[in-house]
Amino acid sequence: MSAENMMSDLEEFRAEARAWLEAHIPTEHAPIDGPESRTYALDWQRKMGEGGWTGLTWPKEYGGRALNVAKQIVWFEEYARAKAPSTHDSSFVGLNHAGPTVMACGTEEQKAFHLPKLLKGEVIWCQGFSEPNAGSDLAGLRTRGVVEGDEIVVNGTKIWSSYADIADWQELLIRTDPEAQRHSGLSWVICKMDTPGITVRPIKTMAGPRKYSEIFYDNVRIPLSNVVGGLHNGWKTAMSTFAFERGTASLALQILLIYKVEALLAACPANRPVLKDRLAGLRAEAAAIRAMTYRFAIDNEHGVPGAEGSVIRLYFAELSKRVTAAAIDLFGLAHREVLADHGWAFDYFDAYSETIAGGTAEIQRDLIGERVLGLPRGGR
Amino acid sequence: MRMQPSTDQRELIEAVAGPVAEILPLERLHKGADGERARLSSLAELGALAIALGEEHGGAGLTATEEALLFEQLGRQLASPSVLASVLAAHIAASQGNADMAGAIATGAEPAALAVPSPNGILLIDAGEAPAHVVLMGPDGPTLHAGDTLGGRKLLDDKLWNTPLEEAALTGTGARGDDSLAIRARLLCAAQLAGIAGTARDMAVDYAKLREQFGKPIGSFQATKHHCANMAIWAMASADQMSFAGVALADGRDDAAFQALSALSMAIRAARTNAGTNIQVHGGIGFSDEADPHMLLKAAHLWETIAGGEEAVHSALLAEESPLGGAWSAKH
Repeated sequence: MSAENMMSDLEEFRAEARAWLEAHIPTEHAPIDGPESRTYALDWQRKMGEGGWTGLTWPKEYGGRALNVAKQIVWFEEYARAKAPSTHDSSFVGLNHAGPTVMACGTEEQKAFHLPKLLKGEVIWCQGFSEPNAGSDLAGLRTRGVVEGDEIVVNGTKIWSSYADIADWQELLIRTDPEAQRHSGLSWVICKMDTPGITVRPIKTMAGPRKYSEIFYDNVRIPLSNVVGGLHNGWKTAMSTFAFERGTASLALQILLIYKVEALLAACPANRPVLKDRLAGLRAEAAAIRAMTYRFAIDNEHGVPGAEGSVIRLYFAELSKRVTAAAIDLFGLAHREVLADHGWAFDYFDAYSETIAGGTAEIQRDLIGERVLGLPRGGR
Repeated sequence: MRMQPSTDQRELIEAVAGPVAEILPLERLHKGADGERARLSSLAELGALAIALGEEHGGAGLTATEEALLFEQLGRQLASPSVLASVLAAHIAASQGNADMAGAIATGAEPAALAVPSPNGILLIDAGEAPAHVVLMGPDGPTLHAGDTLGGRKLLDDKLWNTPLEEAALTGTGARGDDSLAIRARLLCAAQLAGIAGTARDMAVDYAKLREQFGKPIGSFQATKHHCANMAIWAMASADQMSFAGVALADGRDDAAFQALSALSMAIRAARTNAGTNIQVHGGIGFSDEADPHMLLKAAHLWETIAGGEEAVHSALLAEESPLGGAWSAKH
């Protein structure tokens, strides 16, 4: 296809996406947590699936459309423009971590069983990586999995798992070889959340929702066939999960930031020149996040995304905090735009999780130093 | 919509990066800025002054994208503002239909000098003896002036900012290029500054791998490593936005001005921040005149001045429409 044809093809795709979104966008805001948020997320996912708007870059055999990344980007641009429901909802882990990880490291049976369910909006996934004593030091995790015949028996505790209280499945990282040191001896397994022995305790966040959970495992029996990427090879599997998270998973959120800055500029009165200058700087930074995301997404279209994803992930996290802080300064803390459900206060408080979840800003800086710049590994 | 330069475009510029670095080694700047005019001729021989000039003017006929990527490489080697002056002068001459003049500038036969407005007339930068042309970076874009309209030259300093700065006056109004030239000028300044930010990052990282304290390379300590990571963020953000703006201008998109101004805002901050952090990572030697880091800081400020300054860039950016359409007037 010539460059011109490719571009007109892309613009045609954009028009289709815009028209579909305008006709189908939910009129109600998403409930912030609990079973209602599950129903809402799955309904929306199902509706998008019926319209052919899920799994755009996923292979056709798993229900995807096998489109190129440029179309994925255009879809997310239109998605943000339409103020569609946040992609950072309870579908996020399944579509952006677990799905891609199963696709990259799973067996054919695992792929055939799990991937189509994700795209059709039938299941919610959650993550089970962090533990009370294994946060940044993830490789120090202690939740044990003992192989007994064709099962693994799991005992331990996980924490900071988003939407665990409403999830069907979990990507669970456990220690299966107690003799091995730290990174070796871990396994990445698929855990069914209604298995006997699992107790979920939701945790309310500073932003309000009961979004995270602590999870207790008491002799939870998981089929050995649920291991993804090989027994005792879980660290490698988990690293590809992180690469997806730090890579292209947040495209829609990154583009959304542009619209948020625009909304602030539109609301900023002329008699606040200092704030205007600050918003001009944020406008340029939001534009740069988009440019970085495009370059990275195009360069990493095939395979597991590279370490540079940490640069974008971290920049986005810190920029989110600054954009939402500017909103509080612009409106004041009692304005309806600030107080509303999913208002600026919610975004502002929630942004504090961005520099902690999925690898703290400090861990991300270590990764950038070591894996992007080639600096020697040192003490943490 | 094209979203970033193609692999071919990047590879082409990577191939000239080596020759550019050979013509413009950073060591040259320790000996004073003399000889920059001879280097301008060498760059002209490489075709660097005519990369985006039409083939009818002896140029390579490439787009603003390649031109911007080339200026990133020039920025990495702290090229003299005279290089930008020559490139912009050739574009203006070409758009005026003056093929001979465009050709003479692009071959280095008629050197141009860069100037910015100042309260007392103009501030002339690294102009050398009797430049044939002067390009004035006014708030509405660059204008081209004949060298013989230049008068009242008075050297203000040639040491502190590592380049000769003169007060001078221009008579006459000068010639303007086509409508996109003001955007091109901003884009190329952004590219030069993004290059400075990239060099500062690389210089700091190289030193952090080499320099040992407490028995280990300082780059193994989080305090230094995180400084370097921050520099990587600024360098990547400014370079990616710059190349994105290059594509926008090359494709004649409506948001080209917005993207170029965003690139300039990013690159001004990236160059200044990275140049400062690079000095800090180098410690004592970073503060010395004999090492390279101070030259990056001085160049960052020089190029911010050439670009009109952060405040003016932000005012101009606020006057532009949002590139994704104003679908959002409020969050709710």
